[in-house]
Order: sequence, then structure tokens, then C-alpha cells
Amino acid sequence: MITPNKLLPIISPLIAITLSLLVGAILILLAGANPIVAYTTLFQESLSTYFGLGNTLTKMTPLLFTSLGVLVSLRAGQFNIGGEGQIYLGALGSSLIGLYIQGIPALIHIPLALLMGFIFGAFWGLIPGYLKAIKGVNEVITTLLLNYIAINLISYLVQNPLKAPAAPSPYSPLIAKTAQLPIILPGSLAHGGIILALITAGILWVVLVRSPLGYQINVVGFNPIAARYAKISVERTIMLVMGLGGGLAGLAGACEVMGLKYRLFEQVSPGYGFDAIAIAFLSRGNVLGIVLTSLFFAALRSGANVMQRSTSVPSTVVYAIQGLTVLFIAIALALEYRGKEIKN
Amino acid sequence: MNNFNLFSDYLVASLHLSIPLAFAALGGFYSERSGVLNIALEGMLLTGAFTSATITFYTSNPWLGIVAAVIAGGLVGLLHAFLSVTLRVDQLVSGLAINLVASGITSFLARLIFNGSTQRLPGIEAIIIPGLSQIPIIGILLFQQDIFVYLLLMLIMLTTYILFYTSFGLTLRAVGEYPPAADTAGLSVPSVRYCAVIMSGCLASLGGAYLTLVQIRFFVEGMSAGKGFIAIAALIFGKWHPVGSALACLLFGATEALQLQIQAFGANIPYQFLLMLPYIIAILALVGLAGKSIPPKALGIRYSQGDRH
Repeated sequence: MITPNKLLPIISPLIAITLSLLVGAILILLAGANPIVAYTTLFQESLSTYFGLGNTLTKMTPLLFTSLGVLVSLRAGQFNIGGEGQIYLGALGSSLIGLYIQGIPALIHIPLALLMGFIFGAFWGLIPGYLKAIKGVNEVITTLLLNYIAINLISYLVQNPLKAPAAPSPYSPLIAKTAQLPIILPGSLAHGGIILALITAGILWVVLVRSPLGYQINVVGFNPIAARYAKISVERTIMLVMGLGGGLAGLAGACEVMGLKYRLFEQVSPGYGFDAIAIAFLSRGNVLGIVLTSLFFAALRSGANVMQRSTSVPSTVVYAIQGLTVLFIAIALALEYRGKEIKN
Repeated sequence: MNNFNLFSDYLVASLHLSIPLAFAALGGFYSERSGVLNIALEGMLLTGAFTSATITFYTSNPWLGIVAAVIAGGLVGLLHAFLSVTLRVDQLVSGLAINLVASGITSFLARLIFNGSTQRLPGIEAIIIPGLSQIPIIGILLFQQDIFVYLLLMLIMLTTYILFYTSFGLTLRAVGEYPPAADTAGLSVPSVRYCAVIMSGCLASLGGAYLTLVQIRFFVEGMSAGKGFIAIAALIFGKWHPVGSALACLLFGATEALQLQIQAFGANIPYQFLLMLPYIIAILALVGLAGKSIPPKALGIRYSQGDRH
């Protein structure tokens, strides 16, 4: 039976999403359009048309991978806001395999490219993990700073050593066909990455909720002192979750290259890394919540352009809605927490 | 002579590029010295840029634009303080939410208001101080600037004085280093933090107003372009000291100017490494390889009176 207590964790996010859609409606009114028509157009396009749904799933893939990465670190009490940079590194890792290894079957090539994306992302996550665990440097600041180093590094690579010959704008040559992820909805953009992301979410749920490793991560997150008494190495756990988190974000970048663009390019991510923090936070560390919230954010992004074309509401309204959702959920959670404190 | 002009042009460009960074860093300085992490500097810059552009667009009076930017920035600061001090939302999350909202709402409203127009806004002109402005190099750098530059120099000096020579400065440092002690001494930790974070918003917002009213002269979506984060890097490299951070901003402004020159001349030098420099330097400073930089002890930690043991 569902008790009110079990419902509570869903209520706050739902209230937050409703409120942000309401404020969004006011913005749409300001633009001189009917909010109901605008929202209907947006969600019909992104969830119920074939091409639109494909588009939504395409955008959901990096969001889901990256927010899972944020979640893993968050479980151990670590704020990883370096998803953005880790996506770029992952894209680089998989591109290198896709570009420089040729003539091996897809069955080997694809896993290898994914693995390299994971490793590159994990490396970018391990740097702040190591600095936090061993040197005590705040991971919030280092992960943030590392984003911009990664973005500029990729920009350098695609403008210089990796640039395709005679390319009009900075991007690499196409990766080998055997390293490309298959399209799952023919005629749309949706590629196999979404299936990988959903499987990863399932595995992660098992690891976090049902395995000793998940327990270890939780203990470090809730009470590092107790963890030490239980002979859990806090340092090693921190490095582990930061590496794993970086690797998951790396897979997001790998899928953008292998499933969508088939090449390394300058703007691998339009801010997925930052959206991912919002998603992980909105889902309160719950894996299923992350899947649903990623879908919601992806639907907003994918329907925005069609809404703009048919109702002349600027597509950027969806970014305002996303931001407001995070703001309202932060307030809702803080109030909920306060309520509990008073009760106790 | 030509080289000489090129050099003084370069210095001027460096100075100009460092101004928005320095305002944001000074803003971050107040907030973080009081123990409130301020990732929201980016959103505050953007708010200032947008507000000053909008008000100037409608009134054709840039001075009203500046005033409006300061008020809007103060309100964003108030929001950050309300979320992180009163509601005790995690300071990182609060800052992040503010950045997302600021970027979403300004890019939405900008399309309604400016409708793609890149019409130049009336800007703030330089004030030329007679006589002194004729001194080579120094004259251009210090005596032919706009009100923002003079204001910034004054604010840096004032902030240094406030921090180390006034009781408010002592209070601010106490609250940022060890709030329980400040609390025991009868100081109100929340009031100090509110004050500091609101000031932070006003200052960072001024940096944004500089972008629209002096540098670019119209509003571009997302025009803060990571400057708020560079300001955080400058704050770290400058060891959370007003003068140190301002010098770090000058250094980062100079690297940006160099990078722009390399691109403009089409020189075959990978300018991306210059763009990375602020972030690399900040990380090295945190690790202790470029002069150990230690954050205020209570930075990022929520505080309520119940925590006093």
C-alpha cells in the first residue's frame, strides 16, 4: 500500500514542476501566445510524434548518463559539477578509437570506443577525486574549473591536429562506420545510446541499492566518521565515485560522437553537464526519478523549436522553465527538511 | 613608435577585459569571505548586463541603466541569501539554480525586448582628466577611463580598508572563518551574510553593466560567457584578498587580450591554451603549487544557531 510518507518524495518535485510550468505560462503570455496551446504543441511534438520522440530520446541520452554520474558522486557526499568537462573528454576518447582504429568488426569497435570514452571521462573525474581525497581540495571548485580546461582542449584539438582536411568549420573527419552506434528508430535521430543509458541506469540501481559497494558509498556519504570505524576507506571511496561519475559522463560524450555526429566537434555539450546536476538534485538521488526527470528535460529541449515555429514563443522559455524547476525544488526540499526538523 | 602604440593598445585592452572580472571577483570576495559560496556570480553578471541594457534601451539613459543593474543585482543577491542562509539550501545548488534561471529568463526576455536588434545602446563615455591624461601609457591607463574604472579602483581600496581596519571587516572575517565564535560574541551570522551576499550581487551586476554599456554596447544572450567562473578562479588565485584578486583579474584580462590579438592576426599559435590559463592557475593555487590558496574555513557550510556546540 502506498502511504502518504512514501508519496512525499514525489510530491515536492511535482509541485516544483507545476509551479515552474505556471511561471513559464506567464512568460508565454508575455510573448503574446496562449500557454495551453504552446505547452500542448511542445509536449505533443516531443512525446507523441515519431520524429519528435526520436529527438527527445537523443537528447535524453547524454542527460541520463551525465546525471547518473552526478548521482553516484552525490551518494558519497561529493558534488561533481564537472560533468560538462567529462562529457568533452569522453567524446575525445571515443573519437580517437573511432578515427585511428580501422578495419575491426563493429562488435569489438563499438565497445572499445565506449570503453575509451569511459576511461577518458573517468580520468577527468579522478583528478578532482584525487585532489579531494588526498589533498583535501574542495571538489566543487576543481570540477568547475576543469570544465573550461576540457572545453578549450577539445577546441584546440578540432581546430588543429584533429581537424578534417578542408573542413569549413572546426570538426574532425568522420569516425569509422564500425564505431557508429545503430539508429533504433529508422528515419529519426534516435540511436542505440539511449538503450545503453537505460541499461546503465538499471545496473547502477542494483549496485547502489543492493550491493555492498552501494552500501559503502552510502555510508561514506552519510557519515564518513562511521565509515572509518567500519574500516571503509573514505579516500578510496571518494576517488572511486569521482572516477565512476566521470566515466558515466564520459559515456554521454562518447554517445554524442558515436550515435549523433559521428565526429568530434567543438560544442559537444550545450550545458548538459549543468542540467545533469539539476536533474540529479531534482530526483533526490533516486535512479528512477533520474530517468523520468531526464525524459522531462529532454522533452522540453526537443519540443522547444517546434513550439517557437508554430506559436512564435522564443524557444529559450524552456531554459527559464528548467531553471525555475531547480529553484522551486530547492525551496521545496528545504521547507520539507525544516518541517522534519521541527517535528523531531 | 608603432610598436609602442601597439603595446599601449594592448595594455588598455587588457585593462578593459579585466574590469567585468574584477567587479565580479570583488562581489565574490564579500560573499565568500562571509562563508557563502557564490557560484551565482555568473548569473549576477548576466542579470546586470540584461537589466542595464533593457533600461538603457527604453530610457536612452545609461545612468539609469547602471542604477537598475545595481538594484537587480542586489535582488539576485537577496535571493541567494534567502535560499542559502534562511532556507539553508545547499549554497552550490542555490547558486546553480540562480545561474540557470538568470540565463533562461534573460535569453527569453531579450528575444521579446530587443527582437534580434543589435542597435548600439547609448554608452558611458570616458572621463578624460586634463593634464594627467597626457602622460605616456599611464595617462591612457589611469586618466582616460570611464566611471567604472575609477569606481572599481576606489572600491578595491575601500574594501581592503573595510576588511582589515574596520569592525565590520573583522565581523565579516569571523563569520566566514568560524561562525560559532561570531555568534557567541553576539554578532548575527545571518545578518552579516545577508549583507555580504547582497553587496556581492550589486558588485557583480555592475560588471555586467560594464559589458553592455561600455564594452559591447548591446545585449547578447549568454554574454557573461563564463566570466563569473573566471572571477572565481581570480578569487582563488588572489587568495581571497581584494588587491590580490584584482591583480589576478588583470592577469586574466591580459591573457584574454593576448588571445584575441592572436586570433585577430591569424597567428598560428593555439590560443586555447591561453584561455585555459586562468583555470589551470587557480587549480595549481588550490593544490599549493602556485602559493597555497586556502578558502575561508566556513565557506560553503550552512550555519544555524543550533549548530553552536
